[in-house]
Amino acid sequence: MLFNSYEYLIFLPVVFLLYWYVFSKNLKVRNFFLLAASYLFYGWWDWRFLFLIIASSAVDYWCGLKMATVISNEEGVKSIRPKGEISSVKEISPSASSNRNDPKSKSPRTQRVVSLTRKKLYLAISLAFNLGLLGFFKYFNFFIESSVDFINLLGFQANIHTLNIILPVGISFYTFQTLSYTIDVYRGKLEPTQDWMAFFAYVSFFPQLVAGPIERASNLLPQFFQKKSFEYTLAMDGLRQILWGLFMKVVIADNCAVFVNQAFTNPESQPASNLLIGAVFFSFQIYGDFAGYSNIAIGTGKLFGFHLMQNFAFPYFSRDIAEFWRRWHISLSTWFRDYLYIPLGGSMGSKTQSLRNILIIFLVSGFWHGANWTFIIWGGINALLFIPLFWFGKNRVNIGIVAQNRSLPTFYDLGQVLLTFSVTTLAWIFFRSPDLNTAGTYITHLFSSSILSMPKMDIRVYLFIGWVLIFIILEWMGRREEFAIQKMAFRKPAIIRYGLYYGLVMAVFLFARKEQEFIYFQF
Amino acid sequence: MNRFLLRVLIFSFFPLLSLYGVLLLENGTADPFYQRFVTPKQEALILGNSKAAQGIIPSILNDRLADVYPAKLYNYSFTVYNSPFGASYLESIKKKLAEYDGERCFIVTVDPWSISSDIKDPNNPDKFEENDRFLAAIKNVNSNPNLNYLLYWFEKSFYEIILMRIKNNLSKLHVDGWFETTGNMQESAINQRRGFMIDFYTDYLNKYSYSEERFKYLQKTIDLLQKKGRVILVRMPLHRDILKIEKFQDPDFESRMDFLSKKFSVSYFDFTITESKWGFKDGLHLTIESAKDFSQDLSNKILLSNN
Repeated sequence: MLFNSYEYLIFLPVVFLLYWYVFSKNLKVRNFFLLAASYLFYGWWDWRFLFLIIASSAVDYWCGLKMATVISNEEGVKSIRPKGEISSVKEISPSASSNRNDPKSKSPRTQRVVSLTRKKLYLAISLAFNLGLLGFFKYFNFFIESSVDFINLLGFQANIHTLNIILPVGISFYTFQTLSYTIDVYRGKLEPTQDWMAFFAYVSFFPQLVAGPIERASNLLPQFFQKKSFEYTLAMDGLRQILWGLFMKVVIADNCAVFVNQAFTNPESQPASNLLIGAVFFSFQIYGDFAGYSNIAIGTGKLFGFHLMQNFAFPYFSRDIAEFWRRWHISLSTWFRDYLYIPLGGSMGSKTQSLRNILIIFLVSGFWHGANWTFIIWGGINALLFIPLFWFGKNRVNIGIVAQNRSLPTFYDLGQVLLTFSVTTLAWIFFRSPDLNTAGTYITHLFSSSILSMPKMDIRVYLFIGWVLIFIILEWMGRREEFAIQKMAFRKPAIIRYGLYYGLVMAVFLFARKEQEFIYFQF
Repeated sequence: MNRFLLRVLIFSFFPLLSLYGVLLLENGTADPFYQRFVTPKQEALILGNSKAAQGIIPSILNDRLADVYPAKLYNYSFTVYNSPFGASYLESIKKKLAEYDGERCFIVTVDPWSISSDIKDPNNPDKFEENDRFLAAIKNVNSNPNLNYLLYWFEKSFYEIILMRIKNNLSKLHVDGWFETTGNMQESAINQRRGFMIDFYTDYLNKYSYSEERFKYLQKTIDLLQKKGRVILVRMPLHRDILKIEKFQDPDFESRMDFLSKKFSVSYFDFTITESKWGFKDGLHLTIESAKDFSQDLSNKILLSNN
């Protein structure tokens, strides 16, 4: 089910009303209802792939429980649930140690080695299962095709048939989400839950199931053990965020997509000025599409009393690429930081090791987005843009919000923002292109003399340029908040505030195209 | 909670009302089909595909035929893609047709494509390509606004309704169902479009094959209409190059029409033999001027054959 579909327009209010009026009194019943609603939401697309989510949830739940039997001999468990609630998920203090007073136990050192080995085994099972799913459904054909290409390049003949594999929607997101749980349990940061229903509901929570934010168990899972009462302010905030997300997706992303598709279909036959607009529009399309989805997801979570993590923090106002990556797809960036970059050594080793780790993280991030060399190159370009900042210790210079205490940026800030946007846009060309040839053609033609010619555009393109400008202005005005219109016009008379909402709703109604899938569904 | 719901409901009212106002502005310039589903039931119909939709002007026929057939004709033709003869089109016709006590005539335009199919088994009506398109999906073809069409089948964004009112649009679906459309009418542009159509229909040759089932549905359509008035079969004029392709597509087409003509005792007017008289936008669709002349000619033929 798509967020921008009529089915969802019925699904959401029905689930919302049932949730608050019928099922919210009892935790177990409420979680069961959320689980059922989430499976219905996912099954609407293809019910057969529900089994993958169920299997992934079951394997990780089991691995967590098995690790718990190992952990149960250890001390130092600290609850992270709110006071007075049922024991369910616990965060374990770093000082956890084995039970030295048990007379039957082996020596503490031996016991620790055995425990560690068993925990590693269960972690390995979880990793193998989830990454195996991802590898098979997402990367199998890529590896086969790349191997064949390589063998042919060496002068041998290879004709291996690929499989016709459907990529299950959201597989990259929910596998990462469940992995964060088992890894945190393994690391002793989280005590495994005994409540399977809460865990299954956490893995499949419908607002963020298919395109994130990739929630950590330590943030989202405890919320399934909290009793919730309806909060008017939170729900209104959620509605505003949904509205802003819909505007980003339906008005900005989907309409930019029309021109972007034309530009990327035959780049060689178009003037460079068209290609320039196509590339800039794609920057807004991918942002509107993905951040729009995240906003709808987070806003929907708020309607149900859940707090999901912020996934985008106005990335196009970044002053360098390092800041951009702290503001873009935050849930994935921090996932890679915590579960890949830091275990590799992060920036703790030598500079060469650190550079290696940065390169790995960007390449893996690119590969996560899709089984295509274009994504890997995109990741590589971002690494190359990031590395000089890291090398000269400038990667944490721009931490705060641009023009924090001013209404307009300084010329220096503006220059930095535009430069960062330009290099990001250039990298996005690889991300959008179906293959490396198209990306090469696009860039070659983009930097030609026809960049000075008047673009060949329909009146609609001028209209969309107008929308993009309005979007940039609203984003700039709201850059200090979680999302642009969160507190916009709060100090103005109600008629102005509601006029703004009315304008956005009308824009969504009038500029909606036929249901367009979210780009990130394919990842 | 109640306060929240109340606020949301009150707020929703204003954008919904505004949207309704915008939808009422649609006058046939933003979508080529929508108006056909918001008009009331009709007394008499012109059926077929885009050749009929663009080439037959009901208002001209209604003026000319008023004395003999007072029931107003309405152009309920769509495209070869949407309205070949089959269950979907037949059911939609039934829903669009009003009861009428006086004399009326129905114009059923025919060509090889309207009784062919591009599916693997052209005689399996369950798999007909139009089964999942709007004629099959829209249960109420006479409601204004038509929510089903607007939500799922309206081709463009709704802002186009306003834009097309401001901008000088090249096409318009008239209240009588005639789809008026024009474009660059220079010789070179027409030749280019005709070349495109020839390629397009040559490609169709490889995909489409005659469907006995569709032919049966054509007969069912005639049978339904004949119980209510006079049925006239019409083959629209065509450029000779496209006619060649149609002859390839179904060499027995003329004998099938003779068969229908005899079986149902209906008139069959073949206008392909008068090709040189007409101007085409693309070898397939008549120009606006030719559509006017053709509608006059068709009226004359109907009147003549009535005597």
